[in-house]
Amino acid sequence: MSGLSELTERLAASLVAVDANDLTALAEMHTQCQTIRQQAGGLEGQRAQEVDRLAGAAEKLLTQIILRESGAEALESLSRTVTELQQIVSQAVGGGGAPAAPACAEGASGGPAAVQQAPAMPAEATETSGVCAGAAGDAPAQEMPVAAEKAQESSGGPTEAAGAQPAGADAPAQLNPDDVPLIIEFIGEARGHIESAEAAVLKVEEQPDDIEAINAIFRSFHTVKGVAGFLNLGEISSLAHSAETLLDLARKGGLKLSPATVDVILEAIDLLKEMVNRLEKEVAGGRLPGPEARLPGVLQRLKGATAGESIAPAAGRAAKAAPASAGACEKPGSAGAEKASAGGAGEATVKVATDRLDSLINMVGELVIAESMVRQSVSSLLGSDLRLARNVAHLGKITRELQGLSMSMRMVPIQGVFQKMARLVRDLARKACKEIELVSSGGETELDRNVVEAIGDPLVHMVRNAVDHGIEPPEERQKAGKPRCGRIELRAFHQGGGIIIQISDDGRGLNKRKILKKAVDAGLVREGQEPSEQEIFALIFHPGLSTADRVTDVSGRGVGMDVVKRNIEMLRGRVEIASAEGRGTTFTVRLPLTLAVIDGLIVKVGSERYIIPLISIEQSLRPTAQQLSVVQGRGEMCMVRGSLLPLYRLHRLFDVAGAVEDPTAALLVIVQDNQRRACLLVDQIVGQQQVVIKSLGERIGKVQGISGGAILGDGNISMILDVPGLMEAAAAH
Amino acid sequence: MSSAAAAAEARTAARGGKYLTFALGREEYGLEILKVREIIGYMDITAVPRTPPYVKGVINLRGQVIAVIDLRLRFGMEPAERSDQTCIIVVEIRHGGRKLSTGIIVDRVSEVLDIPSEKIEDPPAFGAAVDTDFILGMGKIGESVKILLDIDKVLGDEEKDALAQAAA
Repeated sequence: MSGLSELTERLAASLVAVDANDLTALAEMHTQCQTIRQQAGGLEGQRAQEVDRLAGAAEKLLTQIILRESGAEALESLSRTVTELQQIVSQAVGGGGAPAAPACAEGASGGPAAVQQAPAMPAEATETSGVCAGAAGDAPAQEMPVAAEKAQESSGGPTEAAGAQPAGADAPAQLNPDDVPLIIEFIGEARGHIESAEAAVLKVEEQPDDIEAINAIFRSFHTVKGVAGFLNLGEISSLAHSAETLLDLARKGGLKLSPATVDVILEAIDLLKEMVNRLEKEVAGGRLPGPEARLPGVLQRLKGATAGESIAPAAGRAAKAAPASAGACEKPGSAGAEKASAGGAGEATVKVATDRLDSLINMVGELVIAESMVRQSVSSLLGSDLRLARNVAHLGKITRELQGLSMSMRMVPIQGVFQKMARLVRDLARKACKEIELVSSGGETELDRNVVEAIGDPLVHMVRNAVDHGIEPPEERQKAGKPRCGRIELRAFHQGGGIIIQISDDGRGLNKRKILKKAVDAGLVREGQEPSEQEIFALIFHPGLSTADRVTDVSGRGVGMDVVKRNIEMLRGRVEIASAEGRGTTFTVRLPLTLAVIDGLIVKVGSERYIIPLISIEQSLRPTAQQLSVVQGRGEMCMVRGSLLPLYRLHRLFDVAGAVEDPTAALLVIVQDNQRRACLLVDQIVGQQQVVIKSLGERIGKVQGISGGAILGDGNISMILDVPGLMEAAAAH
Repeated sequence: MSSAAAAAEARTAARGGKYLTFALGREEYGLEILKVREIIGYMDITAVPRTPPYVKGVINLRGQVIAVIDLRLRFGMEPAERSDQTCIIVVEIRHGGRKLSTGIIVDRVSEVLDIPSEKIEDPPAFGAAVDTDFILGMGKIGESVKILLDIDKVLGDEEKDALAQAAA
């Protein structure tokens, strides 16, 4: 006992003398904190927790200082923490029966104050505040945020807060304008936590004893609770708190997570999601959201799950956990706090506004162009001046690395979308009374953020279709000799400079005969016509077929499949279907890695240069006079390998002067779009290059036959041809 | 009457300020300085096919693609030879609630003038032959008169223009 107070005194003494750069002294203090925590066990229950918590916080602050994550402000927080520690230890050693509540309020004041003074480490600091709010053992959940608010108000003088008693639960929620940026930051942060919690819950559902996943959910709720409490978002805080209580019990082994409990947790996550959404909307309007009607119900269920399903208290620890949950109190375990900090520091990230990122990428693009211009203008000197040559080469290397880096900054893994699908499949399967397992692979595959955002909706459509119509009910599956549990696979991988996303199910597959019959009825296919398998499958993307409800029932698929196809095509992607009746269907979506860059062939026409996307080029050739023919004196045709293709002169379409008129002296580029093919007459091919697509701006808007502009190596702009649009324009010309 | 006069006064008061003046042939024009982003020398312009003749094309302004309008053609004047005084003024206009950079080609940039509101008059009625909608007012500087443009209207009235073309 007295050893503990001695240790604390020594810690305080070293703190007074310590310098932020004196690593040996800091390490010494770190060891002292650890010893204090070990010895804290000798104290009686609540005090032991308090001491353990404070020493743990001090330890963490010390780690930060040692790792140079924060400096003077952390030292200040540290000295406050140690002072508090001293008080508690002296109380404990003095055998004082002082009530724990004021001490805790003091703790609460220490937490938020630390946040305000050290904004550089919000995660860590709020961690402290969260632990502290949780330590308000005998205070009901709703009151805690209020206490935190008090503490925040009086951050100028923490002593005031020490005496502050928790106010009533129904304190009016008013939006402090100073809080708005903090709240906005919280919203983003909370969404991230909710998302990772959701993913972890699904994992736990499969493997109920996955302690790591339970810990992950706990941490997410814990952080949300802490920050929400600090920001006086009482409802969010209390919801997160109740969920956290449940999970805390689970991770300590006092509760087994049954499917019903998982449902309750998911319900809490959903509500939390909605509350955060509402908060965002209201804060944008300068208000705080009013009470959430569904909250009491969810809280009730959470508490029910916590209390009702506790395993019979076998050990003393479990016995302690049960009353704790009833009193809505959280026991801040040191292990949990440690884990939480580890989770936060896993990979340091910075949030950047997307427009800043975009302009950075633009500037890097400019740098690349400028670099190549410099290289060109000094190229004649490079042979004689070795130093210059070396420097130019160095500059080139840095520039290319910078370019690669900046492009990769926009790339995000598709994992987030897959996680959403996992949730979707689970809910839909429940609703449809089907047993479905979702297996996903390749979630780490990265693609452009814009593509990831845009691919979500089509994927939801396809997955929903697979669940609703693809996978059969369990009985039907058994009859067909398949396992009861259906299987949907989501895969993502790279192939040939693009990315492929596959959704396959092992359901009943597409019924070709029925699709064909419907198509004939709808007049899309003539009677007696025998389309190929691919053509029949492609029919489900036809709007005339897919939107009719009857067809959906019969064909088994087709809710908004035309929308799916359109969305994917907007991303310059393609979708293909493979299906075997009775064995399942696979949708394969091919997407470009990024929307911003294409491979293009640069061609010259008169004085102008145009870029033709490589993806739509079949070949290029110089025609002989025999290959060319004219129909009715106007329509020009060219015979290429036995097929007669229309010949369009680019210079006529685009009104360019000075182009080569004689096709046999120029080049033909054969382009294709779906099944249509055509020859474009150009003067010559300049080269092939990856180019960044830029819109021509609203001022010019959409021009038929042109999909945008690209800045070439010399800084000039070239038009990028839109082949389908061009063919339409040419046909109308 | 009094309210109309007050409104007119408020309008003229709002018109006073700094203007960038430039020339198209022998005519002198003025442009609110706050709308001007920068002035650059004439550079190669990439033509965009299938656009109206006064849209000269697009240029690369430090990585940003912006459209360039030939103001002479926009006003129905004869096209001029390019000289070393030909400039592109990059202006920022409002287009559907968003800011949009557009270049306008002028023969020569003159100077920045502070024109007080009492020196600005409403444009006289020229009859149907001259559209005064995009004229903010007439600034009197000594003996000369500067035509002060409402650049948002000059570059914004696309539809009206299309209608006029269809009628012609």
